Formats: sequence, structure tokens, C-alpha cells
Amino acid sequence: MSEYVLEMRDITKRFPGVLALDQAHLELRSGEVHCLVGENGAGKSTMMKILAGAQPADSGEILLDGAPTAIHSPYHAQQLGISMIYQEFNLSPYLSVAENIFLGREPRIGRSPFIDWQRMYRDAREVLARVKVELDVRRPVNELSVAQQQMVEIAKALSVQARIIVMDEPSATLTDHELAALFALIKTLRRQGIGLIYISHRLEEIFEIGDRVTVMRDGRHVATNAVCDVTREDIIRMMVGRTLTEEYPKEFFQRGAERLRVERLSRDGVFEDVSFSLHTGEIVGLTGLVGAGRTEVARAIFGADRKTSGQIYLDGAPIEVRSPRDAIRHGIGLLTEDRKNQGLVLGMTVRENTTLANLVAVLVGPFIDRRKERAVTDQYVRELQIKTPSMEQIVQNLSGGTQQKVVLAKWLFTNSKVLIFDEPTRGIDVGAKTEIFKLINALVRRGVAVLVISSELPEVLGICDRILVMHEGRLAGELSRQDADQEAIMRLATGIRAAAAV
Amino acid sequence: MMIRKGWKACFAAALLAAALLMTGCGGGGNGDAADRPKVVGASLLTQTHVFYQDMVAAMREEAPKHNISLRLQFAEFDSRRQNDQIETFIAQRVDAILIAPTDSSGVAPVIAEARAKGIPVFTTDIAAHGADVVSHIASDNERGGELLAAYLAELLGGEGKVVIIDHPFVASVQDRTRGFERELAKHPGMRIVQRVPGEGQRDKALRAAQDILQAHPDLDAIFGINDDSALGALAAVEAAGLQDRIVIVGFDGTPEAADAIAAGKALKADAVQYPGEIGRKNIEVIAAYLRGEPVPPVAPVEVGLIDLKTLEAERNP
Amino acid sequence: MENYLKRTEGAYGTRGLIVRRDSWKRAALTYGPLILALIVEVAVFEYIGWRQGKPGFASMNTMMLVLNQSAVFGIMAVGMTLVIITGGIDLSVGSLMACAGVACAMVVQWGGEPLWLWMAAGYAVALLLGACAGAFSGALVTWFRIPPFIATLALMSSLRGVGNLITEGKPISPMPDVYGRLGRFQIGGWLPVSVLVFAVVIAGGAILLSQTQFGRHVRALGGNEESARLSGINVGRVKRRVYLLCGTLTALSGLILSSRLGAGSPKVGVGDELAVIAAVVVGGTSLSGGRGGIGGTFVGLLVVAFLNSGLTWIGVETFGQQVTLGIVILAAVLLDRIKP
Repeated sequence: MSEYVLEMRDITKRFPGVLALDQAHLELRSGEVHCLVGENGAGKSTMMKILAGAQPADSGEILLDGAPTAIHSPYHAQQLGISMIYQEFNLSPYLSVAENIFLGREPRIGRSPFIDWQRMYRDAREVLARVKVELDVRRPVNELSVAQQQMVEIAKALSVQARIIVMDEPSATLTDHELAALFALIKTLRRQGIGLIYISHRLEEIFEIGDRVTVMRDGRHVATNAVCDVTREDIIRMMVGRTLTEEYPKEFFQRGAERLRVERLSRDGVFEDVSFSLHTGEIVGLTGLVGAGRTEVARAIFGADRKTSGQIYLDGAPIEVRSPRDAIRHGIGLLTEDRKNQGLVLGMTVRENTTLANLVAVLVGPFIDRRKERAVTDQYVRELQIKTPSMEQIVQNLSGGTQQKVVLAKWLFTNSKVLIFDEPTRGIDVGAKTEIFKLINALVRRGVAVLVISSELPEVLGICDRILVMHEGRLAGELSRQDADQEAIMRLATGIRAAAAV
Repeated sequence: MMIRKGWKACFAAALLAAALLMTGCGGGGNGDAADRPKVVGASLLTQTHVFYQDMVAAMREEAPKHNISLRLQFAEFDSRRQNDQIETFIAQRVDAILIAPTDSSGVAPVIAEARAKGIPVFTTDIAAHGADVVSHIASDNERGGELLAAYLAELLGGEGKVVIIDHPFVASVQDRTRGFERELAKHPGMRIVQRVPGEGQRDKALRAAQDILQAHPDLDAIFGINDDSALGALAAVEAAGLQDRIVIVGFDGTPEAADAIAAGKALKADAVQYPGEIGRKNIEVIAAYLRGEPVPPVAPVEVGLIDLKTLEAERNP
Repeated sequence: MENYLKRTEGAYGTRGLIVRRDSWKRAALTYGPLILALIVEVAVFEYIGWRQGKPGFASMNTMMLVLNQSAVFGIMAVGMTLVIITGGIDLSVGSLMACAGVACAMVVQWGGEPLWLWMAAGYAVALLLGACAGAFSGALVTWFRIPPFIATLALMSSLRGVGNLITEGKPISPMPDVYGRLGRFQIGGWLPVSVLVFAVVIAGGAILLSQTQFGRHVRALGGNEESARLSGINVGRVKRRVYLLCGTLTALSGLILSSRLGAGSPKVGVGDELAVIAAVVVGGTSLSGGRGGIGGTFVGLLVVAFLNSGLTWIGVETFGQQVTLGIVILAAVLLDRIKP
């Protein structure tokens, strides 16, 4: 028998324009909790998708108990004893706990089509007992708490004889109390000889539960260490340790008057007491971990979600923004994180998307002046170098970077004074990223105040003049370009400074 | 799983071919005969009721004997569809059109259009209001009323008080009660004491009959203008325990009514229509008109009477 | 924008602006198969009719007849197309059509002389009724967030009941001759008034959808409601207007039908909502919203109308017509799927 229950060797995976994994490797012992960390886009999730059989690797091999194994599909992975527990659970909400645990594998009476309910409930109770959880197996899962649902997911994994369980951000939605229960459960599983891969952004958890930690960056394996041999700072340095290059063409302008000021903005249960200002001539970054409330703040400013309290000022005057219409009338634009579902109408053409937010400008009476509309679109296609065969192209058929430029064209055509970019480079390849940054610079030169929301620290550091960091719904701090480095941001974003202060 | 485009195309083509086959079957071309048959377009109320199925079967059987080519369409209670069907007949320049109207007044404009194009129009079973039709062929409702009145007079020995459960807004019902009254007038001992509205519906007829039994404790007979009215009255009479004192007669001869009669209940007799006869008469009248013979504006079709005797004879031959 | 944005290299590449040819090509791809199917359909019916000794299906006369017959469905279908493009559905059109006809007939009959005045009043009342019913659906869908299917299903049932209640289930008739003009009178002896109204509604609908801000908003929110909202479109208001328009056009259909029948009947239009939806779908409008157009609906209507008329022409009876119609709907939708 091999030392490892799982070995992933030299895994390489290339997506169009991106090398997602570059000879990455991972070794998992049975009975250990192996933490996997890295920035967004470091390749963790791609690695796990390959392990789960959801995507094939371009090259490299996977060994289970020392034997090379090809994993064809998620179902095959499950048969091999590999179970995934994602942030969004794969539970059927109106079925009972027992039904969910045995979904697709219901015990039947003999060879008949009838379910053997007695056996199903008994077996479900047994599995739950193994993880020391007490639950009524007949309850529908939608009546359970998030933590309890997670327990059901884990029980489901155990019921298929899983030897390897991958948990992707299991703690994101749990309370402290629930987290303690989860850790107790993980320790139980570890004693039973199951290998666990634990993915989390919360570094403190690694030190509480992990045995070893693997750091990934840019699709590569950086290091694997026993947890007791490293410090938090070591891990952060390994995660972000990348020198900044011309990938981020930064231009500096004279900081001008205040454009937008947000005071004590709150939305119950989402974010609280957020205050900041945007000036002309500067780019302000807003960062933090996923779920810290960055996007929600942007949506509230834009009127897409209701704010509970707080006031927004534009050019020093208070404004009331109740809907995106109001925001657009005041010259505020939002380039959403989710381009396909929120930024564009994919079935419409480049021309139609460009003028969508400001159709009034191309109207003659009630009619759309096609000639004017084409002229406008043509201008933006040229200025932004939108690479499309024609302005009549359906945007669905364009690449991510080109789509982002179409969204940008839409907001430029509304004559926005304030533009909020939410993850402007997500899913966009490196070359196109640089182009987007140059466009942002050009906007700032023209006097647009820009707020960039991003999880990519190098990006934030590369193009922003000031950086706001959010942690669990609050502004954890503000860093000037001079003071900011990745470690400082990560400290604020993970709440370490706050923890240290207590 | 993606199905390849080629397969989809094949499937679509196969479906279309099936559709063409359907239309081909339905059409059944009859070539061109030397003696060109007269073409009659018929737009009937429905294809889903036994009454019309019987009528249509008889029409199909009868048509070839008169060298008539039938084009049958069914409106299925939809006035718009009937209107469209008749317009198509007009465009095809058929020799005559036969209609069982879905809506007595709604059919008038399209009949006028046909007449304007010189196409004779006949109605069957249901009359059209305010329309110029050559002839209306339908059961002799008046005769049915007469038969029932005569039956009651005989049964009661020429003496008795009768109530009619009425629905006076319908032309055919008016005919039934007119015939009933006329025949009853021949028997001086028989008297209609009241006419109550039952709207031809069983629950309303039931309530009306209950009131009547209170108001006229000495009642001898009830005439329900259709079987639902008669069966409603039957329920009221039985509930009051008067089934041995009061007799009921109905109209239509539905299976339920026939069963009640056969079981010897207070419902004693029903006037019945013969849809097959109506179908034959339809063709005969149209054929006569097309031959240039005179036809009456109303062509009544004989109705019959069923009672315990006729039913027993029919069921145990 | 200064230096960076001023560079104007040919972003289109060498192909340049081939807008016109593009849109023609797309139109041909969209409607080509359907138009072809339509021609084949007419040819087949003409052939079978000829074999049966009744030629003349493919004549001007019949064309006018079919257009006249499809006017009632066609006017409703324009409204329905807009509703379906927003991702909704309106099941109440059949009942509403009956109600509108009844309302108009009642007003005319109740009013008496002068006839022209009461005709105008009847039309106004019917159209107002349609607008109100549409506005009600729209309000249910947008303000109370009731799924369109449920909201209009409820309305379908209630309106049918209202029509039957106010007439006690009996048609309102007889109507004066002038009442039939809208549905039957032929301008110059060949162009029925209803066909003219139909043509105006189709053209108006097509222009509304493709040339105006409102139409663009309809298509945008059908394609992606969230994107449309975040682009500052008042999604609720646009939807309410679409339902209102659909209701009004349905009332117009009801007026024409009532005029053709010379009576206000509460029993017409049962099941017609599905026939209208079928025509819209055959015309290539997607039930999931965003995709479709009036042109397609027009061709789809003709395919279904010529089918019904053709089957009657060659003497296929009720049951055969039902089967064939189902098959043709399936085939048309499959044809749509095959398109690139």
C-alpha cells in the first residue's frame, strides 16, 4: 500500500487563453485534514473539479491507493469513494433527510419497485450515528439549519463509503457554534481514517483543524508543509508572492473634487455602516473576501437593492437612489460581476446592448433612429476596439473581454460620472485585462470617478490609488497606495488585526 | 444528450409526411364522373354526440342514392369555427349548404352571405333566427307534445290536472308545449293548472316541482319539457312519496329516462326523436330542391313515444 | 476621450460594416423555412383539392378568405407575441374576446338610435373592457408577483363566467345589419374591413416591436430581466403596458368576431387562447422569452390558418383536423430547432 490514499501528479489544464493548472500536484494521506489555500483563481477549484471527474485534465495522473486511476465522471468519482461537499448543497429541499442521504440508491423491497422505508430510515440513522449527529431522518431538509444540511451532505458522503471527502469553503455560512460542531465532526472522520481536503479562505481555521497545508498560486503548487511548521504570515506570503509587472499600467492624475460620498450605508444582515468617498482623478479599490459584502454595497449605491439606512451624496448634494433608473439619471453606472446574467442581454446584438441604458438619446419621437444608433455604436466599437465581426453580432457569441467592453460602451453612452466596476476582469484573459485597465485610466482622465471591486489583490494594488477593505459586512480599513501591500490587505480582509486587537 | 441535427430534420420530415398522409386519407379523391354529383357542404353542431353520429351515418348512407357528394364539417359548439367552415363552402361554390347552428342568431350573417352568392341553405335540428333558409328539417316537436298529451289523457281516463315544467325561451320547447296544449284541449276533463320555469336543468326542475306539489296537492300529472326536467320532477315526486298518485311524461328518451320508465317508476312515457330519420330527410329534402321540386319551409320528422310496453318489447324481443 | 480612446483602428477587421446584408440574411434564415412550409402547404392542398374536383384553394379569393378568417386570431396574436416575448403568457384572451363582443352587442342593443353613436359607444366600452382586463393581469403579474400563467388562468375562468352571467348564457341578438360591417364589408368589393384592420395591427405591432424604445425594452427584459432592470428600464411598467395592449387588441378581435357572427355570444373563443399561442410559437417566438417577432407570428398564423382552411377545403373532419394540427405544430417547432 502506498503512503497516500490520493496522489494527483503533474496536473496541467489549459483553458482558452489561460493556463489554469501548471503541473500542479497534491498528496493526501488517509486520516489527515489537508488544507488547500490560494487566492481566487489560483487553481484550487479546477484541481478539485478534475478530482471530482467534472473536468478532464490535459495531462497528469491521479493515483488512488497508489494505483493510477482515470476518473470519468462525477458518478464514477463517487463510486471510487471521492465525495465533494460544495458551498451550495446538492440536496433536494422537500425530501426527507433519509431520502436525501440515499437519493438514487434507495433500498428496495426485494427486486420490486417499492422503497424499503424501514431499512432506509434505519440505515440513515446508522450513518448519522457514525458522525455523532442526532437528526430526525424523516424531516424535510428545508426545515434544517444550514449547518444541519451540511451534516446531511457529509452523512450522504459517508453512506457511499467515501474515503476522500473534499469540503469547499464549508465554514462560510456557519456560526461559531456550528463551526465547532463541524470541527468535532471532522475530527471524528479523521479518526475513522478518511482523508479530507479542506478549502477555506479563513486562515485561522487551518491552524485549528489542519494537519498539513498546500498553497497554490497561478495554477502551480507552491509548497506543502505541516501546519505546525508555518505561520499565518508564511502562508499569506506564499499565496500572494508575485511581483507586479506591466500587467497593470497605472497612470497618476491630480486628485480632484469629491464626486461621490457614501455615509453610514447599511443594509440589514448584509453590510453595516459603510462610509467612503470617491474623488475625480482617482481609482478607489474595494476588496475583501468573497461574501464580505462588497458587491452588495455597490448594488445598494446603484439602487439595485434597497439600503436600510445611510445617505449618498453626489457632488456634495444628497441624492435619493431608489432604483437603477434613479442611479443612471444621476450618472452612476454599475458594471456587474455577472456580465452574462446582469450586464448584457445575451440574445441581443452589440448595437442593441450599447444603447440599452440610454435609448432616449437615439430616439426620434417614439422611434429609434437606426442611423444614429449605428453611428453611436460604431464610435464605441472603434474607440474601445471591440473585436466583433459587426455591430449586428449577437453578444452571446463574443469572448468575455469583448463582452466586458460592450458593457463598458453601454455605460459610457449614459455619460456616467461615477462608474463602479465589480470584478471587471473575471473570466478575462491577461491581454484583455490590460486593455480594460487602460480604458479605466482613460475614464479617470476624462473626470469619471471609478470604484473597482476586485478579489484579485495584484489587480487592486496595481491600479488603485486608495484601497478599501471589507470584512464581514464592515469596512475593516482603508489603505493608501503607499501603505498597501498584499499582506496588509489580507490581514484586514481576514480580520486578523481585529482578532489580534481583542 | 444532443440529438444530431440530421436526425431532427428526419424526424420533422417524417412528421410532415404523416400529416400529409392524414390529409390524404381524409380526402379520398373521387375523381371526375360524367354525371357530376351535386355537392352539399354540411356544418353540423358536433361529431361527439350520439345523436349527431346517428344523423351523420344516415346522411352518408343516403347521399349516394341521390347522387350527392357530402362534405361534412363539425363546429364542435364553436360559432367562429362554424362561420369559417360555411365561408369555405361558399368559396368552394358548393351546390347547397346544410347547417346545424351552434348559435341560432350568430349564424344569420353567413347564411345571408351564402344566399347572396346564390347558394341554398338548409338547417337541421336547430333553427336559425332571422335567416332566409330554404327549409328547416327537424323533429316534429309539436307532434311529440301531441303524443304525450294523448298518452296522458288515455292514462288518466280523460280527467286530470297537469303542470308543465317549462323553458319557454327555446324554440323547440315552444313547439313541444304548443302541440301538448293543442292535443290536451281536445279532452275537456284535462286542465293545465300551471306552467313553471325549470330552465331545462334537473336541479331547478326539482325545486320547481317541489313548490308545485305544495301548491297543488291534488295534482295528477307533470310534463317535463326535456328529460332533465322530467327526471327532476320524478325526484321531487318520489321524495314526497307521491309516486303512486302522480304520473310524469318527458321528452328526448335519454338512456337514464328510458331506464326509469323500464323500472316502472312514476315517469311513464317519453317522446323520442329519431336522428337517423332526420339524417335521411335532410338528404331527401336537399336532393328534391336541387332537382327543382318544391320543398316545404319546415320539414318535420316523425317522433315516437316510448313507455313500459314498447321498452319491454324492445329489450326482450 | 483623449489619446487612448481616440485611436480608431478597424475593430471590425476587414469585413467592415455589412449591416444590411446581415439583417437580410438573418431575416431569410428566420422566416425562410416557414415561408417555404407555407408555400408547400398551399400547394399540397391545391393539389389534393384538384384531385377531388374542387380546385381554387390557391386563388386570390381563398387567400382573402383565409386572411379574413385569421384576422380574429391575428390581432390577438400580436398582443400575445409581445406578452410571450416578455417571458409571460396570457390565457385569458379567449374569454376576454367573448366578453368584449358581448359588451359591445349589449350596448348597441340597449342604446338603439342613433345607431352610429351607440356603435361607437359599444366599441369604446369593449376596448375599455379589454384594456382594463389587460391592466388587471399586468398588475397581478408585476405588483403582486403572481406567475402570468396562474394570473391569466384565473382571469380566463372569471371572464368566461362574467360573459355568461351578464347574458344568462344566451347570445345577444339580433343585431342591426350595420353591426356586421366591421367583419364582413368588403372595401371595393374585395378587401374586407377586418383584413385591413388586421394589416394595420400587424404593421403597427411590427413597427412597435422593432422600431421603438418600448419594443426594444420589451425584447431586452424578455431576454434578461435583471440586465434590463440594471440598465434602468422600468421592467414592471413595460410589462403592465404589454398586458394592457394585449387586452385591448383581444377586445378588438372580439369586436370583429362579434360583427362577423352578427351577435354577441358569450360562448365563443373557448380554447382559442391555445390556438393563438400555437400560432405565435409556430412563428418562432420562444416561450422562454426574449426571442421572436411579429413577422414570424404573421407567417405562423398563416401556416395554421391555411392548414385549418385547407383541411376543411379537402374535407378532413374534426378528429383528423385535430391530429394534423398537433403534428404540424410539432413539426414547425422542430424546424425552428434545426436552424443554426
